[in-house]
Amino acid sequence: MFEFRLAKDEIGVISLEKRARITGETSSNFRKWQDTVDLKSCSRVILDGTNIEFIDSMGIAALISIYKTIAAEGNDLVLVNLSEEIKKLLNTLRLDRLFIVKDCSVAEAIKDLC
Amino acid sequence: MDDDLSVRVLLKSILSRDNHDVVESADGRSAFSSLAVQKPDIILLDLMLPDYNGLDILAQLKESEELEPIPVIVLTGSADRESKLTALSSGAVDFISKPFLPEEVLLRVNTHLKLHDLIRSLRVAVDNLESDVIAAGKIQNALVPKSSPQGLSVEWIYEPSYRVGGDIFDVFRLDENRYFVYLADMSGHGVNAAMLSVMVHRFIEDFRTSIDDGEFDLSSFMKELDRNFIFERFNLFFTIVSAIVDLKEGFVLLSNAGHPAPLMKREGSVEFLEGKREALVGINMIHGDVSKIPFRNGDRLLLYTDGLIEVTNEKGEMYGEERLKNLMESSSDTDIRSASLNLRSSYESFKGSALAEDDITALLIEF
Repeated sequence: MFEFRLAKDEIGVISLEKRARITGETSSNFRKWQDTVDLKSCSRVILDGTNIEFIDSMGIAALISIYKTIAAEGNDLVLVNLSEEIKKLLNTLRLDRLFIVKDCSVAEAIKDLC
Repeated sequence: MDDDLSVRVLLKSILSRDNHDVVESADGRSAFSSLAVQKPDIILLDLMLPDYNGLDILAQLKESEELEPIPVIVLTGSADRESKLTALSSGAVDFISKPFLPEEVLLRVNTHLKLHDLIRSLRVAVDNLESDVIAAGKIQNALVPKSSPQGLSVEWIYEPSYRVGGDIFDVFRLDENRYFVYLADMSGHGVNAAMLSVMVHRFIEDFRTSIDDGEFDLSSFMKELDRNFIFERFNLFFTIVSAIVDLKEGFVLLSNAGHPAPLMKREGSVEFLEGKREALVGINMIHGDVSKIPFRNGDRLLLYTDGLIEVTNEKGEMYGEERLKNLMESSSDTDIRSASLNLRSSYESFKGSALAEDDITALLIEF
């Protein structure tokens, strides 16, 4: 369900293969998946929200878990292509202060142009 | 059950060799009288019996609450395709065509005995789990208050989406004029969320008893929660809105960590209290920000969890903040008991027959 690729300079990109809801059920799969990729050695991780249809509190917990892994190394989690509802949710929860939420393409985020 | 003596003798010898106890009947009547004496683990039923049609017996077995769970394998002539299908759709688990091989009989009988046993133990396990969850729900329900504290007018709705939920709240009196209220919503809404909610409740009780009620400070309370519920420890977080109501001075101190904005009704106008908001509890981002909100007699404050505004109808639409605000406005002249009942019937009629996805909690306070 989740895809991970390394762009240039140790920048990791996480995306979803197809449109999906990140909820309680998917987030336990997500944890298992997270153990299989090496986020720690990424200098920055970009999460492409294009295919995220909906996210519930357990999905938010999955995001926090990624954030904690990356932040422990002093690196950033950048979220791009999020729907307006998800952005509003992150704002309500004040998580936009924790993650970097950007309105730009993955390519621009990789080049750090936004 | 088979009217053919040679078939009965053959089946009995095949099954007895594999240590099964066999009770035989030549017709429907004797079959039912022996079923009344002892319930077998499995029934082999011939479809053509002299005094009954085998399919009628099958139907009768499946109608009886006591005999229904017993697996039935039907014996048919190999050409009789139609009655095989009818038997299977009427509740038989399998069929054996005559003539049969002894190995086939044993394999089918033993497979279905094993399967039946697994289903039975699964059912017992599910029942046990279910009763545990019901008991957990009772414990959780016992933690929320039964009635308003003396001197403060509060009404609430507390509805877990399942038997236990991830919402918890409490209201208690600190001193003559001051009351403490909180409403918290754990991430997720299953058993793990419910267990965390019980821990949060317990923690808050301890916090309260550890200090003098007069010294209760909202800011240090929120910081203390954030320090103690570390995300890594539980892999869960929660949102909480907490408030101290001071009836004598006429203000509310409010601290909101990740919760939807409370609604305030002041003399007929209703607005969302955005104020200072903070992040979730459990990810160490709380600074203990508190806003001071003045009120007059008769003003109302509504605290609620996101489950309320996210009630979804069959068309996939959400109840939303606008509907909630309008409802608060239209109920502003009724007493708060009726206002709370209006709120419940409003979202319930909006929801229709759609399933509740999240826990719903709402607290309405009148000053």
